[in-house]
Amino acid sequence: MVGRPLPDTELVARAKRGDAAAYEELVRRHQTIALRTAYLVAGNDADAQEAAQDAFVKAYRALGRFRPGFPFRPWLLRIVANEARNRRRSAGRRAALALRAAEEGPSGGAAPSPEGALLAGQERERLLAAVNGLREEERLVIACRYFLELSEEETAAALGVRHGTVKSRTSRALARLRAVLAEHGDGHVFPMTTLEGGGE
Amino acid sequence: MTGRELERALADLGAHLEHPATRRLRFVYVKTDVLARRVQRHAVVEQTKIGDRIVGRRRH
Repeated sequence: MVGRPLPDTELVARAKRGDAAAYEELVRRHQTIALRTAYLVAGNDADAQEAAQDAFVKAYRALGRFRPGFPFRPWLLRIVANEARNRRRSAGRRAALALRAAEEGPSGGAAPSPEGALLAGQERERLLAAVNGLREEERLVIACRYFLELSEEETAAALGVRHGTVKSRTSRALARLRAVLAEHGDGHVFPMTTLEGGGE
Repeated sequence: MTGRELERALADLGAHLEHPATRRLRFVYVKTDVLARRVQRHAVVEQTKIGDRIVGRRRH
C-alpha cells in the first residue's frame, strides 16, 4: 500500500469486502500488541503465539459482526485475551510474569554501576513478585494499564469489563501492591530513581 | 511510597519484562482462510451462472 497509511476503520471496511491485503495490513499493524497481550495472559511464548494467531483468524471470521466506527484494536485485543485465557485454562496453568533473562542497561543513559544494577534488579524482582501474587483479575488490569500501556477504555474492552470496573480494580491492585511492598521491605521501590542517581 | 511512585515503578518493570518472541505471525493461516472463502464465493457464482443457463434453457 502506498501513500498515507489508511486508518483501521477503512482497512476493516475493505477487509469486510474481501480485501485480503487490507486484513494483512491490520495484522501487521497490531501483531506486536496482540502478541504481548497474549503473552501476559497466557504466560508462555508457545501459547501466546498460537492464541494471537487464532485470534486474528477468529477476528477475520467475525468481521461481519464488527460495528463500523468503533476502534478495531480493543475489539481485537478482547478476542486475543479470550484465546490466551482459554489456552492457559485448558493447560491448567497459572500465568506468572518474568523479567528478561539478559537485562540491558537503561536506554539512552550511562551504564549503572554493578551495585546499582543489582539493587534495581532486586527491587524489580520484589515488585514483580508482588504483581505475580495479585489475584488474576487484578494482575491483568495492572498488566494492561502499565505494561501494555492501554487506556482505561482499551483495558475495559480487552478484559471484557466495564470502565468503572477497570478503575476500581486498578485502585484495589495498587493499594494491595503498596501494602505488600510495605510489609516486605522499606517500601523504596524506585528502580528509575536508583539507576538515574536521582536520590534514595 | 506514593501512588505515583508505584505507577512509575510499574512502568519501569514493564520495560524489563520478558517479551514474546518477535517472529511474525503466520499470515498463511489468514491467507488460506481468505482464499477458501474466495473459492467458496467463486463456486457459488459459477453455480449461479450454471443455474441461470439451465433455467434459461428450460425457458427456451
